[in-house]
Amino acid sequence: MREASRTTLSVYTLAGLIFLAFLSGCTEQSRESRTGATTIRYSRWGLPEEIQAERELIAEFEKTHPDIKVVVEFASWAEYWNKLQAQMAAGTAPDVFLLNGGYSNDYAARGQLENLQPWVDADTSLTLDAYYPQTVAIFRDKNSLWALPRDCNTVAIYYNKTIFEKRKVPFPTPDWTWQDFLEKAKACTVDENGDGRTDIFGFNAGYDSMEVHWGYWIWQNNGEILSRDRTRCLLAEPPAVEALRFYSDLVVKHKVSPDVAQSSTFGSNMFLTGRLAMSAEGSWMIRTFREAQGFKWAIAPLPKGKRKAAPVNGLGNAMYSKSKNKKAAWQLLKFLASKPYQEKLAKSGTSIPALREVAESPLYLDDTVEGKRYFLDQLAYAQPLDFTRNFNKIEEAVRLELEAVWLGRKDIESAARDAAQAVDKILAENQKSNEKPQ
Amino acid sequence: MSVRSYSPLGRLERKWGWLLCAPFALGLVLFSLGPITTALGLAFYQWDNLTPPRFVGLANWHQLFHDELFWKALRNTLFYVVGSVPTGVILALGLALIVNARLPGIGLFRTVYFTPVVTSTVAVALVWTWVYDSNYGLLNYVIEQIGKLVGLKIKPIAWLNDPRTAMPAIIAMSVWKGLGYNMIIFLAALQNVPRELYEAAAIDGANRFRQFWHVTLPSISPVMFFVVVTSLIGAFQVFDQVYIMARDGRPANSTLTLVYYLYNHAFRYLNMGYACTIGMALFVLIGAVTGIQLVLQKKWVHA
Amino acid sequence: MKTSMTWNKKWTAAIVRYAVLLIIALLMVFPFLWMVTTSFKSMEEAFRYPPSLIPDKIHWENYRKLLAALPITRFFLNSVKITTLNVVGVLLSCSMAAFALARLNFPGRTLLFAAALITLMVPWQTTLIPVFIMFQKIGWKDSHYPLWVPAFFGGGFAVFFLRQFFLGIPRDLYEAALVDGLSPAGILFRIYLPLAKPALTTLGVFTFIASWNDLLTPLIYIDTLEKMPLTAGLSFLQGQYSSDWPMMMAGAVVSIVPVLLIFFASQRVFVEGIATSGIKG
Repeated sequence: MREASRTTLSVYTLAGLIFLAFLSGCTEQSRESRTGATTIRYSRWGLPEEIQAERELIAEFEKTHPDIKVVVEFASWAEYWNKLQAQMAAGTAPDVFLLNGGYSNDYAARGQLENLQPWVDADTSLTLDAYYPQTVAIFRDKNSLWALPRDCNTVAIYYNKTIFEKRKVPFPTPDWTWQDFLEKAKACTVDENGDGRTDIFGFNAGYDSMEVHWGYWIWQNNGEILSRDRTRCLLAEPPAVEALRFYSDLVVKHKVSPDVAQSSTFGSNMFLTGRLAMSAEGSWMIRTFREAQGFKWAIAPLPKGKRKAAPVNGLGNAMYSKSKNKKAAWQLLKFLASKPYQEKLAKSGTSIPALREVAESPLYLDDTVEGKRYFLDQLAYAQPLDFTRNFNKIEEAVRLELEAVWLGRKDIESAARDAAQAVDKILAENQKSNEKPQ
Repeated sequence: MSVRSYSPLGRLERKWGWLLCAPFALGLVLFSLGPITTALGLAFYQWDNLTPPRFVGLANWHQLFHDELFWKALRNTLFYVVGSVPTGVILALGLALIVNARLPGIGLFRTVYFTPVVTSTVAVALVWTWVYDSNYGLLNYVIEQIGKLVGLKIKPIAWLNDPRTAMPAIIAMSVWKGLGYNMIIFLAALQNVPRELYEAAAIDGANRFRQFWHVTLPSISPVMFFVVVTSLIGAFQVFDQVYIMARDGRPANSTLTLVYYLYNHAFRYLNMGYACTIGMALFVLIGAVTGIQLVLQKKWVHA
Repeated sequence: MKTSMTWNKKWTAAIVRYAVLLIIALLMVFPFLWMVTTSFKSMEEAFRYPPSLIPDKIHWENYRKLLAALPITRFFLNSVKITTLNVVGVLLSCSMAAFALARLNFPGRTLLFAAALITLMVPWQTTLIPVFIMFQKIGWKDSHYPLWVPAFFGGGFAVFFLRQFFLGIPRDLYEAALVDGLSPAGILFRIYLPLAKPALTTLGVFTFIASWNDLLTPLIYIDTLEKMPLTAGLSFLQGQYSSDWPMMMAGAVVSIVPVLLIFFASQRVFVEGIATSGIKG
């Protein structure tokens, strides 16, 4: 009796499972395309709050282009690049996808991206002059264009007004210099309760990112990171070393910056919780810092060295070279660079729209953030990072050397020298593979 | 083949052996055979994931032999294995013995001990980074207090900032995170030891310790074998813990492990062929260690 | 006299045991506690350093925001489906193979066991792309299939695990049952499986957890947001530059509760006590 009911139970469970599996199969196929419509896939990463807005924009696009259907593949930032590479390896990458400068050279060199320059030349409705020139330059390589600009970002100094007022330090002015910067950082670094540990730091000097942390100091001192033709690394040259010394002294000599572990885990968050007087952050951090409580903050441009310099980075949308619907993909690419899309971008405040007229409009420049204007001002002289193939490897090589200095285990001269050596090796490999027939 | 295999029993076991193993064998062929052979074969190619692979013979191996970072990663990984596996296994067994009791509420304790295994890695990384913080961390605070009791003034240890202490710190966190997992496995094994064996031993006059040594350990030896082998295999392939606590093997590559190094080559440097070379070297290493275990098991595992 | 002395001894023993259990529990649970309390904090409070344990104010809206930001119920249902299929598939296919490898004598048995171990020794980073390409060629794009179908075809870890447990069950049982006229399959289902309940439960829980917490496979194989299982879907909260920690922790809490419930429920199998060998006389 017991045996029979147990067998019946298992039979029913099995049947139920098969039914479940069948159901799941059904939902897979329910994605139908309208008759006659071309379906293209568009992939980007982003936060959940951007999903709805993106879908609405795409719906508008589909209304004006009834013969194109777009499947939006919203991806998690966590695995975006691994997934894209896997898809490229399988030959099934999306028709249009979001791309950054760091990977564009690598993918382009391996024939994964469609050269958009011929498309731009043939299409009169699109003028590249309408965009900030750097956003186009990032994706330009000799006569090829690998992506249409989407947005851009630069780095400036966010400062905690409340700390400045408390320590009676004057606010940064638009023309402040390295010296001013150092004085203010020192004045704001304080051990409030006398327990031997610094409670408020003047500035967070990180070493991970060329863009956000160490790159622009070198430019401001008239130094260079890589040579124009990308064959040599110039970090060991005197202007670069001098700049790096000034920067590393913040940690090693003046002790205005938190230590390595704290900085890498909590960096930006320290500003948010009011423990940093100043922090160099990208224009994308405005959204996060809006959550700050208990203090007022504002934005100042990067201090001036021998000259003014700032980085600019941007994202673009690219077309897969093996796409089967290139014409439809091109229409979508144009849309993503057009005014309606750029305006939505401006309103969300995550980045600066690449389209100049939208960036300069009140849609982006709102009054609640003091100093937001400086981002756009910096764009007048900002320069893109030295993107090249194996950019990640290069950044990593420098990071390693800088870390040794931050930990007090190396002096900056030898670190710069060793970094330049390591990067030269990478650049040499790049040259070799450029010469090899593919 | 023994004479047995031609007997009716032999035929029965053969037929059922193949039948019962059919799904597994099929799965191996479909989902494992292809990818694994590919992965091992790619060790002799140069591949950037995007363009077709290029055969380069032993070039990758030559590079591997001269690659300082590879050897450093190997040393780090060995250090990790030696530091984490014996400690982890013994502590897990200890924990299992403690919770193998019919106390009210023991189920709750077991669940609590299991939470590190399932707690979000982001939460674990953040909290442990704070524990190890040089200035405000819990660990240094405790050490300082203990020092005060004994009359010593102890300098704060840099833990994650010092290449000498970073890996031990990660090992400790790792062992902590994995304890619950092996604890449960040991618990299941302990539960399967027949009661009669303990009763017989007690009648023979054996105390608790001798019962443990002569009844418990031999009875759970097959599972112990499993735990040791899988822990070793897992430890050699450690990746997640480094990824969350010490991104990029900081500081100064002291926490760079083989699989992390492999990952960088596979996905960040677009150097999949070389990554597979590292993978194959690792595979051979793990295979050798496991092979030794399999040979040694005859000496101590009761099957 | 004697009874009250032994009664006292028992009480002290019990207190000592609970004290030890409690101390260990505190060591194990503190990140979990931080995770739960942070899910009720404001963002600024979450970043405070050193970390605070008790939130200033309980911010229930983190959970409300979470439910509004992502299709959590959908994610949850997807996870339930995928994980259940995984657990059933693994238990079924691996118990069969493990039993055969442990007790039956047939050609190819050592090879299969070796193969099971070999699959464990190759890092997933090297096989990710070949497996991906294979699934794409079959046509399983943007689908759940790659996430659970392989479970019905066994797995090295589970097979190895169950084999060892089956080896621990006395051989005499097997031979006696053969004499009684049962087929090996019958022996497996009627005798070995019931005896291996703790092992099966453990494996079931492990498979559940691995499948429930799997981040990489869903993110790689699924393109449509609504098809994502829970843990993978929650990873969308982690942005490129910054993350809403309280909301992320709220997601982590939502995700971990079913796991702990299942684990706790499975403990009943263990409380049943020590198994008997089953041999009479």
